[in-house]
Amino acid sequence: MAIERPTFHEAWYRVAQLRPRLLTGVRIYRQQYRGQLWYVVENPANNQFSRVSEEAYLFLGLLDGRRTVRDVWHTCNERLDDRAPTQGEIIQLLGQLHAANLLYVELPPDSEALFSRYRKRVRREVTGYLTNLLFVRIPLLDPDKILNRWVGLLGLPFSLTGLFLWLLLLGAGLYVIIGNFGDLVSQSSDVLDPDNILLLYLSMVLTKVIHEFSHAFACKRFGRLNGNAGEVHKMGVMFLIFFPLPYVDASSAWTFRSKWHRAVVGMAGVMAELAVAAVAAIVWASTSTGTLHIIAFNVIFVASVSTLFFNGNPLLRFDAYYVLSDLIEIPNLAQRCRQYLHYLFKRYVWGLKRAWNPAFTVGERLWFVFYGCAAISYRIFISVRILLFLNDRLPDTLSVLVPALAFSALVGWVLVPLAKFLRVLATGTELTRNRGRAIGSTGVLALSLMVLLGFIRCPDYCRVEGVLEPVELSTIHAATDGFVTSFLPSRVAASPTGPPLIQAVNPALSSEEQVLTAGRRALEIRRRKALTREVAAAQILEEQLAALDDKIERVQQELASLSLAAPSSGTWVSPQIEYARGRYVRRGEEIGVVAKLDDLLVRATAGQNIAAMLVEQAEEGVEIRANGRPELTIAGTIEQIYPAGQGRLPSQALGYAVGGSVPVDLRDPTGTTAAEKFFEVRIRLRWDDSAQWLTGQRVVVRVRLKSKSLARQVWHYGRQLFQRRYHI
Amino acid sequence: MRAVPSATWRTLDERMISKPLPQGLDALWDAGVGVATRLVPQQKRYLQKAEKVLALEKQFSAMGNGKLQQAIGQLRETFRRGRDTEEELHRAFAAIREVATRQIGERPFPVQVAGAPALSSGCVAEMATGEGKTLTATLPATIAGWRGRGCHVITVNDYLAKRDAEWMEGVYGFCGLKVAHIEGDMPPAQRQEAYAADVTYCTNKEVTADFLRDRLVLGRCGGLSAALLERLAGGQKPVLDRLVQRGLDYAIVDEADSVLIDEAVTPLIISGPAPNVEQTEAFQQAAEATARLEPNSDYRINAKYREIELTDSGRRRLAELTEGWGGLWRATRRCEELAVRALTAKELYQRGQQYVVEQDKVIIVDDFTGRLMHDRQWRDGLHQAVEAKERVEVTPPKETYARLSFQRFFRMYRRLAGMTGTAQEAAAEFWQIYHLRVVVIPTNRPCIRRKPPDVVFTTAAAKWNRIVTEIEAVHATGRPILIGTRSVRNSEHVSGLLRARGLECQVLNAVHHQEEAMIVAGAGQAGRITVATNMAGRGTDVKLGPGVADLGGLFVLATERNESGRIDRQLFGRCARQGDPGTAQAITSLEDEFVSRHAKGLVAYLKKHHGQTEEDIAGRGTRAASRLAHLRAERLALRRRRAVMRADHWLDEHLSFAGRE
Repeated sequence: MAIERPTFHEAWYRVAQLRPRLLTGVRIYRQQYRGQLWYVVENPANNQFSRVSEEAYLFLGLLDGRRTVRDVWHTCNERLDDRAPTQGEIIQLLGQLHAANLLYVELPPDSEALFSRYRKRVRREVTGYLTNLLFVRIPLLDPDKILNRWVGLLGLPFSLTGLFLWLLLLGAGLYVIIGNFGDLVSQSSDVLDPDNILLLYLSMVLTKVIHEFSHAFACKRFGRLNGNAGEVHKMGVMFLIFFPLPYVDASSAWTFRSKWHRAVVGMAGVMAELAVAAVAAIVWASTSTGTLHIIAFNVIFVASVSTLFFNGNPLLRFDAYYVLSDLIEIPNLAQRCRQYLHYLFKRYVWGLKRAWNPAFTVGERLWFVFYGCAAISYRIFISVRILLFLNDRLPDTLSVLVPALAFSALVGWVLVPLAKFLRVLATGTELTRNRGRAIGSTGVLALSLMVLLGFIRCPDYCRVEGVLEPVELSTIHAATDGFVTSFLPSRVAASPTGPPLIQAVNPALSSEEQVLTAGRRALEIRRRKALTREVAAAQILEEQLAALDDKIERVQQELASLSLAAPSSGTWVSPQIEYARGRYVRRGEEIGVVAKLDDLLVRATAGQNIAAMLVEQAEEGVEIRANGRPELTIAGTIEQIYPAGQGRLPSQALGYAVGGSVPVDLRDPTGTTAAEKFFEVRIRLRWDDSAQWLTGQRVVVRVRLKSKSLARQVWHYGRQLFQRRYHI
Repeated sequence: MRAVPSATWRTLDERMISKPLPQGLDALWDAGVGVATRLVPQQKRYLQKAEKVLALEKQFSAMGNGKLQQAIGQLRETFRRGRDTEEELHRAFAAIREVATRQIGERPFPVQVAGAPALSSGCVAEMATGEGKTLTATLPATIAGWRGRGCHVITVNDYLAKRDAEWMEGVYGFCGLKVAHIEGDMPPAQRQEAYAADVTYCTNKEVTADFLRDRLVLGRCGGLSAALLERLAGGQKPVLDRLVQRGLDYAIVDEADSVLIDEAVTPLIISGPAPNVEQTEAFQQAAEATARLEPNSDYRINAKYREIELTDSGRRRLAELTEGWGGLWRATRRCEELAVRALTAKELYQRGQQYVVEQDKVIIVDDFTGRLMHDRQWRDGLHQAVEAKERVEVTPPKETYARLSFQRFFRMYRRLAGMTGTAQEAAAEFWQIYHLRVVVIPTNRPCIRRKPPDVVFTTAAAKWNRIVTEIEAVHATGRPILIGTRSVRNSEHVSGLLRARGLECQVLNAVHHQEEAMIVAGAGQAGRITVATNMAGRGTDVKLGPGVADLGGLFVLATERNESGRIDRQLFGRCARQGDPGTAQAITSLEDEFVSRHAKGLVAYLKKHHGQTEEDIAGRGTRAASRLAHLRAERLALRRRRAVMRADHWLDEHLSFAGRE
């Protein structure tokens, strides 16, 4: 029948005659969600909650153990007309309450069903753990008594004064951190050193203990304020990415009437962590070395990572998610987002006009779409990040875990849903009438996705680092030792005919010249004398004179080279020259360069992993950016790629030691020997504006590779990643 | 306090639930096991067993009656104690075989003997009709009777239950067993007695209904302890004494495919007058109001899915029409629901097709058999809507007290076995739902059925033409003809055509079981033309009249393909039985509802390809079309049955607080 909510249900007879009622001791709380009235039914025995609508609440309220379900249903029909629950909905409601062990029927309890339900729940929990291997929880103790004893004192921070103090503390911490941000960042590269792992883990346990207990105390405290106990009965160990950490179950906060109280309980952990981080920041800043300093740093690290990426981030199902879902008054936000996205798919792709829409209001719809997309993307992002992180950091003995996790993620998030989807598509009863259309539109969608990923070519890029060098470059070395007397300032045009680059005096040389010239004069006199007396002696003297002349000439040349002219025209670059006046330069010392700055060249190093692609697929034109200056770009063309075998870096600046990206051999003090052989790529710049570019500057070259489909690009990078890690 | 019979004790102590189907990997594994067992040939194994039984023949045939009885008494003890071995089973079969020979004068053939161990070990034995399934069932039923936990032999109708029980009484009596049968109008006391007998012949409807009634009697004292307490408390009529059945131990289901598969999801409903009935005049008002609605503008008819959908203007108009009526009409949802029901009754239910009116009562007509279903009602107010439409007195809707599908009921038996003429096609389903293996038992004498290739036409008109000429030609030779149709409507169409040509024919339509069986049985007389729906007269033999075998035997003509290859085969299996000659021929068209619905694309292509030809177009294409249609229809049906089962199971799980079904 084409009726949306059919009044009758064929299994009605099974419940019609029953006289059920809610269990004694069940508590009901009235709550508003987005303007709609809901009732939360709590079973105090096992802390299970069910949410029922206003109409269902009326129905439940009338069940007193004396009226039959049928009578109550008729009463509901009279009172509520269209809003009255249908038979099917009543059956659903009773079944749901029964599954939550909230219903009492005066029939002998079906103990086998009870146990099978219990087994089923346990199995569901276990499979839940297994499918979510990264976040496993195991309950261990009941901390309620301890909490009750201490809540008087430790619950105090959860007050207005507490909030104020917390804000102050946070401000102080932030102030310290901003002041020392550079140090903080530089220290963070050591945080995952093997030496630090134990300390890091201890800090993590410390912060998490504080985190969890603040949930518990907040829950207790507001429980007292609200008049219900705010019980906390479960505490145990959670394995977060295999690291055991404590956790506390504070779910009884759901019964608080004020959603702000619930929110504070939910965020208590994060707030406490931030407070701890603030204290740690102050400690860290006021100590310089030592264990305390390191622990403080670790605490800051743990708290900030956990807050930013996990607990404080509502996109994952941790604390902030529950608070968000409560504050925007959409319970089960994530689950309903998924359902809503499914609904959208069914409604618009499959064309099912009667698909069930989980959204009640427009606001909810917007939230669902927005949150749903954001959460999915973030979840993928964080999982990939975690996997890559583990891939990099796990010791080799455990490295097999990463592909295992990746595989389980692939199975759990891609293959199983895909299989389920295909099964619904092939056999789902919902689609009995629309199967043709559904298969068609799904096919079209899948095909267009495949075309998009597999056939449409997208530009592919790779990046290499290099240094700028002029094409024509003459390094100026001092030709003679001497004291600098005058020089041409750096970055000034120089030419062979222009003023000398540098002028120096060498008094020793000058005096040597004078001595030699004097000696020559004496020799000359002696020669003239000898000419008159004995010719043979004059000849000897003449030869001596010639030798002396040579010497003098050499000295004079040396003297002349004290004034160095530019060998070619270009720009004179010598950054240190300002301090050279009066300095003694030695012969052979490098003073500066004369280079043609309007004709620069990039010498880039390409690791072996990208070189093959560079050689085969690179297009000529490349784009060059200066490190740290995103606004500057310049075009260039690849001139030549020197094959592998290069070991010496074109510049120290490219080495890992001074901030470049190429790992260098640590044994080489100059830091120019690369740890792995590389390809050198020479790129000629297409000039436009010289003033912005400096020789020796480190640049990033973005090379456009041959366009290929996204699927091939991802496949290639994935394979490389795998190969690098496992040497296969 | 009197002692409680151990059977009752057992019944109460066991949890009578049908276990949920395995899910996920378990289901896959189970299906795999099913495939594996199907790959192992079973036939040979059972034929070897039969040989062993036959080898013991001499031993018993030499005995006098007294000696035989004594031997049987010993065997009976062994089986009662449950200490029997394989050899004793063979001895027992041989003994019973000898008893059957002496008592009813029929010595079971080797193939019948081969069926007995198959049934005994819980298989579905595929035995062609006419091979003596009734006699075959006697062997394992006797063994089960000896075991003392009761044995139900499920037959297709009351007539057959009575006939078989009476026929085999001698055999059971000699073996020291009491046999009884259940009939529709038996009082509870007699039923109790019949179920207490060692072997009970009954129909699936009766046995399920009795089971449900017992459950209703048990009501809240579901468990053993509660029932015993109730007995101690000793009311006027203790609950335990009012129970009719004594547990579900072993059943042999005749026509297993029809009962366990085709009718599997039909629920058996026990209902009675409901308290708090809604005003019956609301249905009349709905009929009045909807008479003023215009089709297409106010509502749309979806013929394919047999549905009515109100349009927005229809909704508005309905609101105007019903304004101020009060009562149920205040609520929009209920009002629209009533209106849709009334429109459904008006547009989609035709007098003479879906129902007839007899003595101011609306009686449902079963679409497939053409039988009148006196005790059935449509659900959810549809019946009342039809009554309002026909302006007869609107009967207050009945309330369901208990409800159970055959599928779930038969899964409750501790051991189940089945016999049918056609089981192989459904082997997968037998395994998945009931964990029954299928064993194909060969026929006693080789089958010499002639089966000329199908004749297929593009248009229905050409098909009917050919059918009539074919019938005329065959009739001229004097051979009896049985024409199978898919629905009552079609059988009327055929009989109309034949009458127009001056051919006299018998039509199986809306008659009682006994006559139905007799008409089918008489269809083998020379010169007879019988038109029957495929489902009618199942389980009855068509015996050839004198001289018919020389003419070529019965000629079976199928006018359409059926929902499954099984039903086709059943129809064809009505001729050429027990080594008789016979011909089976199918004449179909591309316009037949079945192929055009399930193989739409292929049929459209074939139509285009062949154009408007009047010739026979049978070939690869048409064979593929019918195969495809069968495949799809069978898959659809299986999926539907599984869905019903799953839905039932869901309810069970979530309504376990409400007691058992």
